[in-house]
Amino acid sequence: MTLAALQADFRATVLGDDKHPGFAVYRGTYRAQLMACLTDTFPAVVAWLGDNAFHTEAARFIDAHPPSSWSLDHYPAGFADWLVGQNEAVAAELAAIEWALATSFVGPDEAVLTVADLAGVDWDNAQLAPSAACRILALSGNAAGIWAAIQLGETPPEPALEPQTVLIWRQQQQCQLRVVAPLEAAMLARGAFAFADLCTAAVAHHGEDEGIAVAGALLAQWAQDECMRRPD
Amino acid sequence: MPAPSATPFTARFGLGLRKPHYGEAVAGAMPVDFLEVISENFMGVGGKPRAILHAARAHYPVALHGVSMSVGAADGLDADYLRTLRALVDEVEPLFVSDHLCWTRQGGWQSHDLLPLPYTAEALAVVCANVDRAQTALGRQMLIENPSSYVTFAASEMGEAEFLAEVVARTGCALLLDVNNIYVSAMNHGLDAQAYLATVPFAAVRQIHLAGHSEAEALLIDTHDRPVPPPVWALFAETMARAAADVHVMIERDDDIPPLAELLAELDMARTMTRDGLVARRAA
Repeated sequence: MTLAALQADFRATVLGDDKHPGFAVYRGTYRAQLMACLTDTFPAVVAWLGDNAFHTEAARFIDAHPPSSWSLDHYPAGFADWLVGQNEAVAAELAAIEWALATSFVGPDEAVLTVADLAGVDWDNAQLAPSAACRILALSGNAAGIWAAIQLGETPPEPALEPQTVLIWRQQQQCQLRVVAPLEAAMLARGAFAFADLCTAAVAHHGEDEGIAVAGALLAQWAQDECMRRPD
Repeated sequence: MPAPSATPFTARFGLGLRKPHYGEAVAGAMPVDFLEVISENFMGVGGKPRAILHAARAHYPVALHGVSMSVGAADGLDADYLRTLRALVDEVEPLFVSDHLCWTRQGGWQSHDLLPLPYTAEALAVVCANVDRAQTALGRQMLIENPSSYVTFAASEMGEAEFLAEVVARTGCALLLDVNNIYVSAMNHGLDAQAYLATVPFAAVRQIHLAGHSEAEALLIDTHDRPVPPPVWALFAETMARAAADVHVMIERDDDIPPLAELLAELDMARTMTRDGLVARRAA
């Protein structure tokens, strides 16, 4: 038997149910690693579903989704979509939030726009864009509120269909989360835009009188949050 | 090789960098000579993990210890993995870069567990080709670690230590010798740990791991979740009777991590045994 054939057979054995004690060790370690990875990444989903239901869903996900990345940290990427397919809508959106938090936490380092930068930027030519550690989620329900209540150890609100856009970003090495208004959601969804584009959109949303002030306030908010790339 | 009586005491003693002890590491308050990190935990990541690694690196030499290179994979190495590891190597300028004599990927599947190899001529050629490629991609020598194993293969044509010696001879790589893994595999497969040590090319051993294990029904499991047990200390003493004077020794603890003081006490024991071993060698 070639090494390639042996390794294919060994893989099938680890994923199967061979009772040999040695293979049982490999199979047990393999599944325990993946289960721990999912449990650690999705504590709010565990809290929402309960330990047993979460374990059942996670075990089925492990069966259906063998890992394909060299990093175990990448493994939970498909769990939110899996929960959608299992008709666990709230758990799926909680999982999307927690996955966004996990990837934002370790997202690329880069210079971000701060309050101190505002005066020095050439706003006629500068491009604004969310930082690489930003995650923007369009949610169909109030999962952000449920997630927040779970964090605080409070009773979560009843699930409700309340479409929301959530911004997750990293500030001073800590992840932050807030629900954003339609104008901000629309601008963040563009990826990159000029301050003039923000002003135009703000006027379209809020009218001539308020629009420019709203755009200025949003820019100040982003600088305060440190969620946008520092313009060149 | 210089005579033992002329060998100075230059061994170094370190710990794995784990979350419960990040505070001491970034403050430079761990009385150790070096730290070891799991490479994959810091590959391609920014934010707090990267900041902690940089802060720790400012105080200590850091060894990168990988678990997903898969030098035994018949499929070969993952180019993205090598690129990402090289970027980390360039950033950290590590003391050592190591991974295990095992395979972790096959046909797009990743095991995230160290799977065993048959010790055949074909596997030797595969491992050597992969180690050659890794050393070229990383621009430096690698250390290869002996794994714990829970099955063996009838197809094996040589012992693990003999296999490792051939990998060293053919690729110029060095070795990370895990004393607990030698003990665990020897117990699991009825092998002779002393014969294993007698076959290891000690001139290539740059680093030594010490760890604890747990007992399952019929097997010892390499769990790194308890102190180094007496039989592993005994094997360590025999190991240090052969090791180079400047070898780097460390305690591996990955689960049920105790207060730092407990790990430092174990490290002190390793330090004392190393010094005593050297004294004995000088006397001999």
